[in-house]
Amino acid sequence: MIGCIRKIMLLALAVLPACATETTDTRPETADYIIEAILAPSCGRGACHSSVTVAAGYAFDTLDAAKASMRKQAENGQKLVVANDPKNSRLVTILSDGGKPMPADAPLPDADIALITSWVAAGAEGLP
Amino acid sequence: MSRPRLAAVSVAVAVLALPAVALAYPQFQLSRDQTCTGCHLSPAGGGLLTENGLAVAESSSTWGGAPEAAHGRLVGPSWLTVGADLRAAVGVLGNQGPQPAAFPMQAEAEASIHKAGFSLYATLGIQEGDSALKFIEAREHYAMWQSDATGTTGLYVRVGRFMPVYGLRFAEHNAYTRQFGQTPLYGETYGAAVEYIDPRWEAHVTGFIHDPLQDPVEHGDGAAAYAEVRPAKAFALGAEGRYASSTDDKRTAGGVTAKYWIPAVNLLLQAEGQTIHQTFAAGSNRNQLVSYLMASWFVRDGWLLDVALSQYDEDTHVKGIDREAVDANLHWFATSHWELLLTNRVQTIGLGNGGKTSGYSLLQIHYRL
Repeated sequence: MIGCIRKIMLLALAVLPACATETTDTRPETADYIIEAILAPSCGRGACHSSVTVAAGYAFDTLDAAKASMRKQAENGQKLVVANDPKNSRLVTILSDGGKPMPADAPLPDADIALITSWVAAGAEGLP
Repeated sequence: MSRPRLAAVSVAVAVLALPAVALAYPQFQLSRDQTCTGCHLSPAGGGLLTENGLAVAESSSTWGGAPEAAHGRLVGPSWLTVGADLRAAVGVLGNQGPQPAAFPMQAEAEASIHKAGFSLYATLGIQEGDSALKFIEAREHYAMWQSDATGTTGLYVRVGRFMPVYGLRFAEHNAYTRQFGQTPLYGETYGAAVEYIDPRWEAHVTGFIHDPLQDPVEHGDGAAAYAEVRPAKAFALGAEGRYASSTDDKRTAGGVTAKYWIPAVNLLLQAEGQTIHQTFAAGSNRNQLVSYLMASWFVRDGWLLDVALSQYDEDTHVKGIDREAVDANLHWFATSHWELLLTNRVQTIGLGNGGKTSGYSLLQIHYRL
């Protein structure tokens, strides 16, 4: 019995060293990648900014939905991304804001926020 | 209540609707019954209860009470089973400081019409949505045939809208293996499944397409498979695989599960590890890892304590973006119908590297009609 417990624990712990292959951040600074790989799983969940709920007018669960909702909100005067200006881009400030940052229950990793900031500063390639 | 606090609550209510459409309590498998179908009509577990499931609901609660629908006051024909689930939560969310939150989680009715091995199963509920059409949701609706019309094992064939069986299927949708894995909240699809349940093993194979009628959470089409063997009454090992393809990406996922019940100390151990290879339409790709380890202690009748460790690495090639969390959930099944759940999480990013820490503490109230 104890042996089985030990095996289960070792199996679980074995997953962590798999992360030891990590290298430097070479992820693409593109709208496609940022929306699909970062915003969709953390912000575009079913109950939050998904196509089902469109909370606060935004849906980040797919590329098309994200671009369409950002375009629509921009037409309503709420521009989420200001190209070349991360300090005035709500997408950047709300992820790192010291007051009420999003996601409300769990922050994004600094490396993700840095990637988004860098993408906006470089002109927010891929946004309409 | 002060205006800033009221505003904070309002924001939390408006923005943070975090519904939890319950899938199941996998803590009860092995500890209470060998299979999900021992307690549920669905071969995936969750939802309407069998007669045995009703008895377990009664015996596993502190004060019991008639476990049948509407506390036994609603007596219908034998071919009809009905029920409903209501959930709400209040508490504190903490990303760089506490924010009060209160929100509805689930308001859903369920019905099953069954005759001679054939059944129709449907849920009808309400959810957050930006249109009246989305407000009413029929999360699951399917037709099913089972080889043993009166039993809980054998062959099952389902066609309709449901969540393809994959992994441990926790009730809490923010369990990492659900949130970042392949069974997210509202991840139901249209599909056909062939499933076999036996006390010693079970297998589920599902082919699915995304919901073409309303905006789905799962946008891909594909297939999922899950198999579990139980070489001993107290031990289960599972394997899973899944593929989905959408206009945005292609995901190939696989994983393993394990369960071990230690009756001497009323402790159930569960673990799941998933890997996901995702290729984006734009050309890039990434490998993700998700793992979950939970110990559930059945303290005494009606009380259940879960302590879980979880880990998610959103890209194994990038340093410092892994997330780790410790969950502590205390369930009190007060009666056959009422449950209070105090759910808590502390999460950190880049464990050991000084990454940001966050968490939440929420009190859930769950009423099963």
